[in-house]
Amino acid sequence: MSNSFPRFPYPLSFEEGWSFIWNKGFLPLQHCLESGMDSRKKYGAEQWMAIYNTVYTLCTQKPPHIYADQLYASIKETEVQYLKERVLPSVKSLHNEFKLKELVHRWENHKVMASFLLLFPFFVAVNLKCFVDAMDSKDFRLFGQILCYECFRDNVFQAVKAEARSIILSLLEKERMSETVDQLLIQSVVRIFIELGNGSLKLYTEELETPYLKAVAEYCKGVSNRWAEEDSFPVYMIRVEEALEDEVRRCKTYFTEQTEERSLLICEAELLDAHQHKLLMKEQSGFIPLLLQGRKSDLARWYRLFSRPGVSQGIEPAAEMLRTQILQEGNDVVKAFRARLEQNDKNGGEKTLHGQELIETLMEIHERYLEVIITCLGSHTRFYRAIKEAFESFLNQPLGSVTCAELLSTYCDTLLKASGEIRHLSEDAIEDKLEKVVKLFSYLSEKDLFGEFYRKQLSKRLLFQRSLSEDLERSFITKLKMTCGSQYTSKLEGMVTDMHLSREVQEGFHVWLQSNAIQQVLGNIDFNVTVLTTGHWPTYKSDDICLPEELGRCLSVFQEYYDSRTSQRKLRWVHSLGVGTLHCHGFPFAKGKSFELQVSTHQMCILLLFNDTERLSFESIHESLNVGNSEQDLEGLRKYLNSLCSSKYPILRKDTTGNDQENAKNDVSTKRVRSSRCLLKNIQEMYEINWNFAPLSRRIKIPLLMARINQEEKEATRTAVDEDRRHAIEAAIVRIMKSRRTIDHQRLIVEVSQQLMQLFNPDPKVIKARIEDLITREYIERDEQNSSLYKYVA
Amino acid sequence: MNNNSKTVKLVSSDNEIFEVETSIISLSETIKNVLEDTEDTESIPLPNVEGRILAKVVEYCRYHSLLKTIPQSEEDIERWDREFLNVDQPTLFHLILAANYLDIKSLLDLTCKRVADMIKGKKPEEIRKEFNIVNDFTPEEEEEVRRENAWCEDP
Repeated sequence: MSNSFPRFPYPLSFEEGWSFIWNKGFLPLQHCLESGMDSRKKYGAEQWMAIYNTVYTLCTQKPPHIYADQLYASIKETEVQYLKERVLPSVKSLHNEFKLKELVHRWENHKVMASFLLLFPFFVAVNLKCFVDAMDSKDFRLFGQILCYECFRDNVFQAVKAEARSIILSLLEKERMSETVDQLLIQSVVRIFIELGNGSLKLYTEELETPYLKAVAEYCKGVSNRWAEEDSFPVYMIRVEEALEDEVRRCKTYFTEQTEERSLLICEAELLDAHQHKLLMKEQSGFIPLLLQGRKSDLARWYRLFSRPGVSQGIEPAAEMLRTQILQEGNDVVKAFRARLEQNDKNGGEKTLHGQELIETLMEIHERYLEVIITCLGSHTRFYRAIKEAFESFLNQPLGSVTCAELLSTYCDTLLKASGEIRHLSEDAIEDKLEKVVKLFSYLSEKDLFGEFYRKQLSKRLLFQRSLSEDLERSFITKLKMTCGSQYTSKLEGMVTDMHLSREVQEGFHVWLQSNAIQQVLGNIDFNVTVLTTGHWPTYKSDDICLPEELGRCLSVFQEYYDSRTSQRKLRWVHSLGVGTLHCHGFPFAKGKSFELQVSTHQMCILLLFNDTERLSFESIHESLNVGNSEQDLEGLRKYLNSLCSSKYPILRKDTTGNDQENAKNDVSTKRVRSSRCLLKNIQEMYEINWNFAPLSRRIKIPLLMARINQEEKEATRTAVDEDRRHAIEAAIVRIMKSRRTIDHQRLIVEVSQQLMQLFNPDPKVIKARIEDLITREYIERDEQNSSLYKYVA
Repeated sequence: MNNNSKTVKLVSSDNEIFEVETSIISLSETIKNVLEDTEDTESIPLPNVEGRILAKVVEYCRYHSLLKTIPQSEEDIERWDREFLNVDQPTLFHLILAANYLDIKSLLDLTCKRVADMIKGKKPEEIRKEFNIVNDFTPEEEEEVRRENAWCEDP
C-alpha cells in the first residue's frame, strides 16, 4: 500500500477526518477546476478510495461517533464559501459574451464539483440507516443534488441573472438583424436557466421566457406597422409567413416547446390579428380583390395564417366579407332577371321566361365559391355558412310573377325531359348539373312549393313518356331525399314506382288476354293502361267523356282483368291524360298510303266521330262527346278542336259558310249555353274533314295541350301549396299544444316556425290566423287571465 | 474503450488481488464511480473488505452481469442466489457490509432479505439465540414492549 492511504485510529475524530477530506479532496479538485485541467486527472484511484474510505468511516462508526450530519454541513459550507469568494467575483468582473462564457464555465465546474460531492459515501452511509427506515437511497441523492443546485442559484445566479438575460436578448436582437452570434453560448446559458429550475420550468419561465416574449411582441409590433403600411396584402402575408418560420426556428434552437407555442401566439396576435381589418380592406389587394382575381395560392396562404390559434378574430371578418360579396353577386343576377321579367310582363307576357340562364348563373356562382372554400379555405364550416346565408337571402326573394322554387323545378324539367333544350348533354353531365341544382335547392325556404311544381312536371314527364331516363329521375329524387328526408319525396318515389308497376300490370294484362282468348274483343286496338295511385299524383279531374264503342270495350275488359287481380281497389279513368295513335286512310295527298296521327284521347274521340260522317257542328260534337256544360268545359272542347284545325296540321277544317242557316237551326241549343256572345258565335261553327290535308311524314304528332304547365296550373299549384301550408301549420300547432298543454303566443309562433322550417318559412300572420281558426273550432282556447296564453282543449 | 476486455485489480484488506473485468465489477456503484472519476486506473484498494468476502462479491457480480448476455429463468436465478447465500452467519454479515460499502444494491437487498427470513416466525428468545444477543431488557421493559406489539403476535 502506498503512503497516501492513511490508517486511522478507531474511532476517527471528525476534525481529523474532515481535514483529510479537505486537503486531499477539495483542494486538489478546486485547483484542478480553477486551472482548467481535466478533472478526471485530479486523483488516482488510491487517493479516491482513501477519501471514500474516510467519509465512509466518519459515517459508519458506531454511535456516538457518527458524523454524517456534520460532514454534510461542512461540505455545504465549503461549497458556498467557494462560490461566494471565487466564482461570483470572477463572473461579475466580465462583460457581454465574456460574462456569459464565464457563467457557463463556472456552472459546468460546479456541476463537476457537485457530482463529486454526491458520490461521497456519506449518502451510502445514510443508506444503511435508510434501509432500516425503508427509504430509497435515490431520494437522498436527489436531495443532495437539489442542495447543490440551490447553492449555485442562491449564491451566484441570482446576482447575475438580470444582466445575463439582457445580454441574451441583445444577442438575439443582433441575430434578427442577420448578424452571426455564438449560438452554442446562448444555448448553454438558456440551459442554465432551465437546469437551475431543477425539474420545474418556473425559474426559466419567469426569468427568461416572459422578458423574451415581451421583446418578441415589441419587435412584431414595430415591423408589422411598417409592412402593413408599405406592402400589398399578399406580400405582407409572405413576410409574416417567413417571420413565423423564423420564430419557430429560433425557438427550436434556443428555447423550449412551451416558449415556441407562446411566442407564436404573440407573433400571430401582433402580426395578423392587429392588422387584420386594414389588410382585408386593402383596395387593390384586400380579401375581395384576391377572391375576384382567383388568387388561389394567396387565399390558401390567407387561410393558413388566419386560422392559426393566435388570431383571436380568426376567419370571422373574412367570412362576413365573403358572404357580402356572394350576396352582392347573386343579388345583381336576380335583379337583372327581375328587370327582364317585368319588361316581358309589360310587353304582354306571352313569352315565358324559364330562368334557365338565371339558374345556371347562380349555379356557376355557387360552384365558383364552393371550389374556393374547398381548395383554399380549408373547407371551414364558417365559410359554408357564409355561402348558405348569402344564397338563402337572394334565392328566397320574390321575383315578381315567379319564384326561384318554380324556376328551379322548371330547370330540372328541362334537364330531365327527353325533348329538353339540353338534349346534347351526356347523362353524366346532366347528373352533374342535377347535383348542383340540389345544392341550390337546399337553400330554398319554400321547399314545399318546389316540391309541388316538381311533382306536376314529373307527372307530365312520366305520363307522356318524356322522361329522359328512369335512372336519372330516381337519382335526383334520392338527392332530394338526402336533403329533405323521405317524407318529402315519398310521393315522387311513389310516382316513379307507379310507372314501374304499371308496366307489370300491362304485361300481366296481355298475358291474361292471350290465355283467356279474348284478344279479339279489342279488335286490332293496342290498348295500354297506366295505373296511378291516388295521392301520389297531382289531382286530375276525371271526366265522363263519351268514348267510342271500341274504346269503351277495351276499358271494360281491362276493368274485368283488374278486378280479377284485386278487389280492394277502384279504378277511376282520367281521359284528359290519355293519348292515342290513329291510322288515317283515304287522304288523296297522302299518296294512297296511310299515316299515323298521335293525339290525345279527346282529340281521338273527336276524330273518330268523323268515321261516320264528314261534317259536324260544334253542337253535335259537344253532344256526342258528352263533355260538361260549364264554360270551362266548352272552352276546353274548343281548344281541342282548334288544335286539330291548326295551320300546321289542318286535319279538320272549320267551315264558317252557311252560318246563318245553322244559327236558326240551333236555336234551342244556344239557350242552353248561357255565355258570352263570342262563345255563342263559335258554337255555330261547322267542322269537316280536310281531305286536302297533305301529311309531311308518316307519323304526325299533334301537340298535346297538357304537356306544359300553363299559367292556370301554376296558379292552381300555388293555391294548392297555400292550402297545404294551412294544414301543415294547423297540424304543427295542434302537435305542439298537445305536448305543451299551455304555451304563450310568442313561443308557439317560434316553435311552429321551427317545426316547419324544413319545408317553408311560415308567415307569422298566417300562423296567427290559423290559431284564431283553431280557437273558433275549439281545439284550443285562450287563458282567461292572460290573453296571450293558449290552452289545449282535449 | 472496450469494457469487456478491460480489467482492474481489486486489492482486499488482506492484500489479496482480484483481477476482474470492469464490465462485471461495475455492478458496484462505488467502483464504477472510481473508474469514471479517475484515469488509467490499474488497481483499487478496498481496505474495508476481506479477501474471502471480496471473492464472494466478485462471484455474485460475475453471475449477475452474465445474466445480461445469457438470460436465465426466474427460478434458476433464485436457486443460484439461494445456493450463493448458503454460508455461515459471520460471512453473511460481512457480505452485507461489503454490499453497502461497495454500493451494490441488489446484493444488499438479497443479503438483508436473507437475514429477515432468519428472523421471520421466531420468538424473541429464539432470535436472541440465533444471533447471539444478550437480553438487556428488564422484565418490566420486556412486558412493556410485548404489550405495545401485541397486535403482531399470532392469535
